[in-house]
Amino acid sequence: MADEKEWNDALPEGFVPEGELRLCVKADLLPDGSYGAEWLVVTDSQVYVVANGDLQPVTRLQFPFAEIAEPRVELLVDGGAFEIKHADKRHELLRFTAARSPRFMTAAQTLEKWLKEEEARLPEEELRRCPSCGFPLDRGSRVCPSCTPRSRSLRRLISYLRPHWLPACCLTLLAMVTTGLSLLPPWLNKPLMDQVLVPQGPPRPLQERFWLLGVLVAALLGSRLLGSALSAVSGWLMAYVGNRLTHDIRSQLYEHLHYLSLSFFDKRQLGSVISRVNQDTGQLQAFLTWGSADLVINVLLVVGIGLMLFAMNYRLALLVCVPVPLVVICSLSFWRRIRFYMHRVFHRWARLNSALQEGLSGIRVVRAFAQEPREVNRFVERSNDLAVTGVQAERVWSVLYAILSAIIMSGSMLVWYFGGRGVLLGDMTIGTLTAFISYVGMFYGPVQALSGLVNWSSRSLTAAERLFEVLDSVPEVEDAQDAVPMPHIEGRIEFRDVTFGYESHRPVLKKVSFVVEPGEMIGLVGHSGAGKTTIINLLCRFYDVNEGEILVDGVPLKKIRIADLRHQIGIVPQDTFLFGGTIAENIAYAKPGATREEIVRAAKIANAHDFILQKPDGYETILGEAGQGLSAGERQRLVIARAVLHNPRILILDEATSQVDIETEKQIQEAISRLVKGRTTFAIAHRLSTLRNADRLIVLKAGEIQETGTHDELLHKKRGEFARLVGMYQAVSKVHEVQR
Amino acid sequence: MLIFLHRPGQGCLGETPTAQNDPEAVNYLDPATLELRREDGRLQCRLPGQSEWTDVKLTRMFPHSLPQEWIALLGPFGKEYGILLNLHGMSRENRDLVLQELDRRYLTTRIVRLLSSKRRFDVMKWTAETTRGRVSFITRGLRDQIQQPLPGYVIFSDVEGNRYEIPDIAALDPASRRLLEEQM
Repeated sequence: MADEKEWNDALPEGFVPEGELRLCVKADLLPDGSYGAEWLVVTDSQVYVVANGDLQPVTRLQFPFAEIAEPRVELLVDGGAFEIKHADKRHELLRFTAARSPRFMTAAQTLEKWLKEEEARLPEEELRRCPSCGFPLDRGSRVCPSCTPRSRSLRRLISYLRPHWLPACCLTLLAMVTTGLSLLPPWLNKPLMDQVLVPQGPPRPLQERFWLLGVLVAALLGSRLLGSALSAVSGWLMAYVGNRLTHDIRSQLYEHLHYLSLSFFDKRQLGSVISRVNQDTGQLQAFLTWGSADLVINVLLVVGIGLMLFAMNYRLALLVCVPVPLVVICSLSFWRRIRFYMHRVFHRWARLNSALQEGLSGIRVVRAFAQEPREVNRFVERSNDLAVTGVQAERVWSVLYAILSAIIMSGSMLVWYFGGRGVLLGDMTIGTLTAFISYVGMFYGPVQALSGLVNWSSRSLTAAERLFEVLDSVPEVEDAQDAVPMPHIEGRIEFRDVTFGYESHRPVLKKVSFVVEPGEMIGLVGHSGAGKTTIINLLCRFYDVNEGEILVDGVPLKKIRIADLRHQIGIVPQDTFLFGGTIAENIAYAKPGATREEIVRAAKIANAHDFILQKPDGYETILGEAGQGLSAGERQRLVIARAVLHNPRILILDEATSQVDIETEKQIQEAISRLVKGRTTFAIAHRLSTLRNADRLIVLKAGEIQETGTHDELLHKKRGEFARLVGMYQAVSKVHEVQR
Repeated sequence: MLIFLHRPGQGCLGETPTAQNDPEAVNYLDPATLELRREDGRLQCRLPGQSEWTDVKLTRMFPHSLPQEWIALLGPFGKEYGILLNLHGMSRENRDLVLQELDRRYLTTRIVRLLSSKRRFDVMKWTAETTRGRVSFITRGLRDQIQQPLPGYVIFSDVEGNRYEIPDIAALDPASRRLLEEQM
């Protein structure tokens, strides 16, 4: 009961139902369609719909529990309605938005079981939420993207620096020295003016002034040269640290992705995952390589120059500070506007690229339907959009930049005027003024850059945050702590009352039970969506079952070490995916150390040997992406060869549906029949010939086993599902034959 | 096969029996002669001289561009009975029934005014005035979550699986438009 309480929503305050509470679900729409709360409350004797009254909750509808029937959710567009039957009449009890639909579906399923007096428990909790802000978290994710403090990500980022502490320390030191060096030239200006060029007080001998001029110029040159050399070194070091650091994160990320459950990828678009690996690490790298150095140097510069200015003349220094708030405010809004337009330019680029890619990759279709003008127009339109936005961005950039420069210039003008007055009145030497003016010229640059860098660093932290989010998601399927090694699987497989749904409230398999003996070949038959692939996914433990159990050689699947299990399962998948590389490498994919003889034998068993020899480069023929340059039949045979070499105890054949010619078909069939020998085999079969070879067939319909038996038994079963499917298949094949 | 085998209104209705038997024909229903009633919370329909279709589901075929035209009548298991091209010539009661049923089935919330948008990382928090009242919702990963099925028509998908629509950006007040444009 403890679980049920956790799943249930809180009862409306002040509402006391009759009997023991079993279920309470909150809906978020009122009968008139506006937002508001209503509750479905079920006790062991009553079913209530509770609404908010003026002072306390009121019962809007009430039915005796024993008299209701057929609780169900009618799924509407972007929402749903909860219905029951009472006295043979249908009643809509509540309405809710899509966000609440899964909860009501679970409630309906549970209620139905209770009505049938079956055992049913509410799930633990459906959607995890951040305890502090309520943001829905991804399954398996521990980090709330909405309220994690930024400092935490920063600390974590810095923790990656640990292996590179030495270069990092050198860098900090170098930054300080470089900053110091860049402060030197204006400071040397002062004696150059006051003691050499325009001497104040009694002039020194000319010889001495020449000598001093030489020394000062040499010092200037030296500081510049040393500065350049040091910045070259620090640039190199920075690039080293930045690249190593992002390399560490990138590798960790990619490795982590490979160990995440497949459900992680079900919920995301592959593109967005790829962009995390690519763009987010790229952005982070750019910032770590250039931005962070700039940040440190600019902070040091602002502080250093500020100190110099105040030390030389605090009154003038105060004047210099007058435009600083204006520069900061302007820069901040400047960067905001610029970022807005950069975003827009970026987005338009993406749109242009997608038009380019779609138009060119679909060029055969475009040409076949004579739609060239349309595609050209689409491209031209988007290109024009990009041009317009580009101009807008440039305009904003130049206007804002001009304004900023004007403000900065006004600061220097103040110094010229008041400093000039000081020189005329004799309060200040001309050397101090020129040094001061040089410092002022150097001062606003970093101030302005810092406001931009704040922006940049925050965006990079966002990128880091997104990467950490992936790193923090834990695999749902993991080795149990008491997992047992299983170096040799016999191949006896048992499904016991297995219920599973990719979303737990929508079961795809319902109470599926069967036993397969070692070496048996099972054909899985059924419409698409019947649950064939799901059985395979569960057997490979890509997902864990919701209810029931799967046993391999009598051991629960969850107790078997995942690596042992997968090493002994071989898949011949429907999408004959081949990696870039040679034919030999592809065959040996599951067994990287395979000898040439093993590879050739596998190819011979798979009937692939002959066609491989037809290629000029034989087994070393390079395959492009997805095996370009091979026919569908050839690709299938390579994939079979891969499975042969893998030599699995349990084999899964997900037959490709593509049509091949009769000769190729024969060769593939031969290859398959050699492959299945002596292995427990599950075949998702579309070809009747494969089905005929199976020892037994399991016919699935809507997630349940409809019938099992041998091919002949099922074929002759009157009104059997299999007989019906075969009838349909034959009718379709006849059509195909006629078309051929 | 393209659906426009018969030009709209060209009348496959005169030849109803053939149109219904021919799987390639688009089966238009005549709004004027279609009888509708609601029983047990469900829509029941009948064409003159034919048996009644029970438990009829109305589906908008072009929900964004033509919400009150091209309405398909579906039976149990998604079998199509026919298509109402529009509601012209329908009795007032029938028309009201159709509109009510569409209203019942389509729960996408319509945004009237955008009040605020706040970005944190790639999470956007929106507050909006809608036809159902004020609401705050969160979208994530901008590009996938704000779609434009038609020019000027925007659909937000939030992290909880709800959708919010703005049928015409141009009809929004300037402040809302600015908020939206900043993010698109």
